[in-house]
Amino acid sequence: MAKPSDSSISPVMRPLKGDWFDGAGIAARWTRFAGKLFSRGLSVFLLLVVWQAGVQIFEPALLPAPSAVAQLIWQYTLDGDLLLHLGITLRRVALSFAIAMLLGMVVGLLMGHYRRVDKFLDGLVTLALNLPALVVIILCFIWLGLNDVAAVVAVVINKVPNIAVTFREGAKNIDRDLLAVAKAYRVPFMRTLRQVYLPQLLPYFLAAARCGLALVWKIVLVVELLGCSEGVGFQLGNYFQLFDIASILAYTFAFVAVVYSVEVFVLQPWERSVSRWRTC
Amino acid sequence: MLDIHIERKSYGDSEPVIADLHFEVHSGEFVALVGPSGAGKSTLLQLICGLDKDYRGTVAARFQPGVAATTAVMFQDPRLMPWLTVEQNIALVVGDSEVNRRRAAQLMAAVGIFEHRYSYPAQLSGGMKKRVALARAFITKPDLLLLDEPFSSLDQPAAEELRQLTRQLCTEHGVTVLYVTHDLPEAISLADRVLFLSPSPMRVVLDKAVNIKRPRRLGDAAAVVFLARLLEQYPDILKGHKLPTQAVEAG
Repeated sequence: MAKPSDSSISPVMRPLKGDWFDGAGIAARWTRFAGKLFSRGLSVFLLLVVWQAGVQIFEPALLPAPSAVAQLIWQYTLDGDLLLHLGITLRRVALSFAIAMLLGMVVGLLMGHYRRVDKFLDGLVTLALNLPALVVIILCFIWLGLNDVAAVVAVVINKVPNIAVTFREGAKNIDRDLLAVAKAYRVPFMRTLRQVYLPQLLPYFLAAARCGLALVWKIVLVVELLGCSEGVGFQLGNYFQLFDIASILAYTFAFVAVVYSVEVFVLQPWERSVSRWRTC
Repeated sequence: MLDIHIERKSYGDSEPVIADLHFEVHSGEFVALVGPSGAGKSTLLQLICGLDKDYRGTVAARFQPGVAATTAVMFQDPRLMPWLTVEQNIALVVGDSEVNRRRAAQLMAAVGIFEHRYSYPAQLSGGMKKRVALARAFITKPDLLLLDEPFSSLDQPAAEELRQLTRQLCTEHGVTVLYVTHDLPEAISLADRVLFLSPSPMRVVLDKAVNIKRPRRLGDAAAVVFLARLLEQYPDILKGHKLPTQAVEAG
């Protein structure tokens, strides 16, 4: 039997299951993760130290110390106010994000795969991309009333064009040669979708998700500020009226912490896990 | 038996790429299609494996009575899914069952890639990737194997190893092979019969049986003599120039 002649082969990988589930593997992964978290958190920690020191030295009237903000976060958490408004805002963010991703994905894939749909919708998408978010929010409140539906619709309209454009590029970059392999071997549709088509779209999905999440929560806060009677945005509006900077920062940091956690603990590990083949 | 009869294949309103192309491949036969680059050889393989259905004519593959023929393809490039391991790439075309996993393991051992079964394609050399593509083709237990210049991008030793491996597996499994190339010495070293094709439109201009005993290797004296005689008899055959009707020989 012929033996491989190539000597340029990289070292053989260990079996995935063994690598993934054994105790040493888990410990090593946690150590790596903790190390990364520490190096990422170091800059934030330094900022807090400088901020705290600056406030103690210069005692500025319009900037509370981070320790005061942290105290307020704790107090509002105990009161239940922070969790209530945070929960409401997160619900709006999750709902808007899910609807926007779904709609944007469908529109983007149709545009990417069908030239006629692309030509037909291109003008509309370009227009929507350049529409100021504030205008959409105001119009939604005028047309649909000051309610949750208007808030979610406003966020979705603002976000769908970005997601659609990302997925359109993803669909256009699908490798037809790889799909031809599946077709030539008559691979069933669902397996082709799962193992040939979707993995090619995954980088675009992750890009749309990360960028979408970062944008959606910001728009949600504006929506809540303008026309809702509950949520983090609404609370920020109230504290703005009272000129309560510490409370504004307390709500902001609490919310940012939640969104940042989603990014660090959900999206990034998922991306690393599905992109492992790229780093081999 | 594979019975090809393409009346016309063209792209849009342009001149036909293939016209009145007719030939047969018998069960277990290894047939090479030799023609100049751009003649339409790869297009023909696409018609046979069902990737392109926009043509006039018939492609009939019957190898076992009452059973639809299974066709496998080895493309010019290996076309492996970069996100799947070697083992997963092979299992992709048949599904991930215990039986298929065992068969995949046997094939990976046969083509010399078993120890790389958990590697990703990016970790393999060009020759290794082609071996994975070969194992992927054979896991489907094909009746018909279509080879689209699979050895063209490899260095000489790797290409020769893969040629011998392919030939050996085809003989062991009794697979019928239709092999496209523009490399005549390679075709002579592998095939039982060589069909010479003309460009624009593609037609069979010469059907030549290769009656050299096996095993053969590229550069064997008998193969070199066969090639020299062939080129002496038909000097322009590699340019795909049409020959007079008298020159067409029976296979």
